[in-house]
Amino acid sequence: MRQSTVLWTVLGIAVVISLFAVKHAVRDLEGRLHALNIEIISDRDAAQVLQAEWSFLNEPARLEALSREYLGLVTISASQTVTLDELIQAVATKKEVPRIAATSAASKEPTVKNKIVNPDWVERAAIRLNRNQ
Amino acid sequence: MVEKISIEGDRKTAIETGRNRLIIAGALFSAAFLLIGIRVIKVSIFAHDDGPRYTRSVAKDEKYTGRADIVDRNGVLLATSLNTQSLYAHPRLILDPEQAAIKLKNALPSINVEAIEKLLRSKRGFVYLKRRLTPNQHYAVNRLGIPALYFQRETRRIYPLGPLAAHALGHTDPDNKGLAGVERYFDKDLRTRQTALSLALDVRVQHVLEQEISKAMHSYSAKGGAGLVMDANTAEVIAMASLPSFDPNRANAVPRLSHFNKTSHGVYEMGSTFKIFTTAMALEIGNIKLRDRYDATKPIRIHRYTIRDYHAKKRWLSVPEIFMYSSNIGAVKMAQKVGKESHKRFLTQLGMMDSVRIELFETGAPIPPKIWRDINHMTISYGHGLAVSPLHLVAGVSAIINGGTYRTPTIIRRHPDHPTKGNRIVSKKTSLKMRHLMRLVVEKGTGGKAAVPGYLVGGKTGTAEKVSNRGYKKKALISSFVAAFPMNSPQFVVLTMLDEAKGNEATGYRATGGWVAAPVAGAVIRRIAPILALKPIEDEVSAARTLALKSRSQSGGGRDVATN
Repeated sequence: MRQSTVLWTVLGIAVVISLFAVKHAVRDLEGRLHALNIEIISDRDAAQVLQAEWSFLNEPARLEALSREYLGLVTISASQTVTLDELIQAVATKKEVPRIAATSAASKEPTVKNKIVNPDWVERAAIRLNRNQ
Repeated sequence: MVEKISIEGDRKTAIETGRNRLIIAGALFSAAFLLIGIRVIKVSIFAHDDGPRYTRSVAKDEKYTGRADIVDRNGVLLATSLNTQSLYAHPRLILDPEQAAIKLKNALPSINVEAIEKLLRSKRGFVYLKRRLTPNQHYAVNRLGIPALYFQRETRRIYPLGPLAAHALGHTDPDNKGLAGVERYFDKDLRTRQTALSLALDVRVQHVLEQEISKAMHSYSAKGGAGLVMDANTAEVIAMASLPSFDPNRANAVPRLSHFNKTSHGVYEMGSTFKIFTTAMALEIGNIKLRDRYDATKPIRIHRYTIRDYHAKKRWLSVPEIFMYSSNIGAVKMAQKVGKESHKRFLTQLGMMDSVRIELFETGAPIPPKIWRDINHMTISYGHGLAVSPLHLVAGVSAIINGGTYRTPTIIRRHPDHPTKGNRIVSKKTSLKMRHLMRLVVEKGTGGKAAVPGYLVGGKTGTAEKVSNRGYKKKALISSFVAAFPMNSPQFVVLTMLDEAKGNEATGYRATGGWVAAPVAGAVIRRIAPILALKPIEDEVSAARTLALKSRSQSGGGRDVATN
């Protein structure tokens, strides 16, 4: 009788302590999850803004004006079009081997840090939105 | 004795009372413990059923903003939703409105201090101070630490490309409800869908089309313009331009008139471009051969009308000549050979009698004559008396030249293997002949200004007088050109249309389709063909000859064009 009382008491205390510990661990984890969720949502918002910005910067009229001004590009004419095969043949006859191989090994994925968003860009996109109101 | 008993009675009562109280207290305590026990069991075992969890993880594919994005066929973002913060206040809780307003001015330079102060002094429970702050403004206001100022998250619909493809996209109201275009048609879908909606449009082609038409509108002082580019084989709308346009980000900044989609909503008598249908019909069901000739020496007189040719040749014309020189007289005679009922049936099959079932609510119902009299039968053969939308025309032309299958136009990107359902309208043979005829128009006929070296452009000019209250207005023209390229295997159909264009010095003050709309179509094709990855034809002359031979072999040989 006495032995079992002691046993149960010890077990009871152990359960209480572990429950307490688990509860605290869970609370910590929930806090972390909450923080991560907030971060995910704000990153997603930022990514969304960047996508809109990207699309805005790629507006065909703007690209056309820029390429005219800085690259001196003009509308392509039919005579300027060649197929890849024709190009390869033209290059081969001139005995020049295209150099493509070297770059592939060097390009490694850049490590992504938590804040990938340049605040300036977000600001600029946002200013534009504001102007549109 | 009596006293003792009474004392005993008192004691007994006291003990009884004590016991009763003890029982009641005990019962209360047990009930309390029982309640706590039940609650403990409930909380520990059934916790997940009981109230919301504190946090849950954001699912990987979970949607984060209200309305789904809209992208073009290459994935370029056309419409998206951004989260913004709006600043509001509870004025009753503001301690020092004047100071708060001055402080706010530092963070938000664009605001009016007096107006804000007045708002903050008001007795209302809730006032918006500024909606849709930029992230930096949000931060700056937060840093002021003024109590009783709060932020509300709001999503806002953004069209990053501005006015580009505005009519197809449409716009939304401040509560993000679709008001026009795709935004309206797919309103419910956009609210719930998880992925972006892919349109058939290509922004690069759209840009070229809008730019070229707008240029032409300026040089010919036209009131408006419209253009369409359609994939001839899948009936996907690659570009849809209606000018003047508007910026869907500020849809209310322009008159409502600019919101009108001329390509799908407007119906016009299209003029000679309808001869494509008349000729195809004549070849298909009228048992007419390319070498058949018709008397176009004299105008046709019926009742009080006279039908005459604009480019009158005053001689007998073969079918290709009727088409090339756009002879109204010839078209009427061909249609008469087919007959009124067959004519009507053919146009119905081509979808010219009902609204186009494209994914837009802005579709105009055609205006056919109430009763098909002989005169209607005759005028419709050259495109007067039946008003249809430019979209009707382009879908019909696509059907005639793509091998003969009519498909319902779509603005949604289709998998090449799963196009919309098609109906055969004309045979492959007729389709081949029509390709040849349309090529002739550009090679030798009225559409010469649409020629683009390397892309074997074919087409048909159209000039229609606008309908006024009574009869037609001589000076107000709808000038159009419908082109297809490359004619040996047509991939795309291009329509350019100018509303009330006026000729200038360069066109000899002519404003017909061949003079003002055809060059636009040519310029558009010159620029979009490389974008659409079409390889130019090196030897155009021999390609055109092959096309002519093929089409002639179908009709049994014979000379079909008299050389001038």
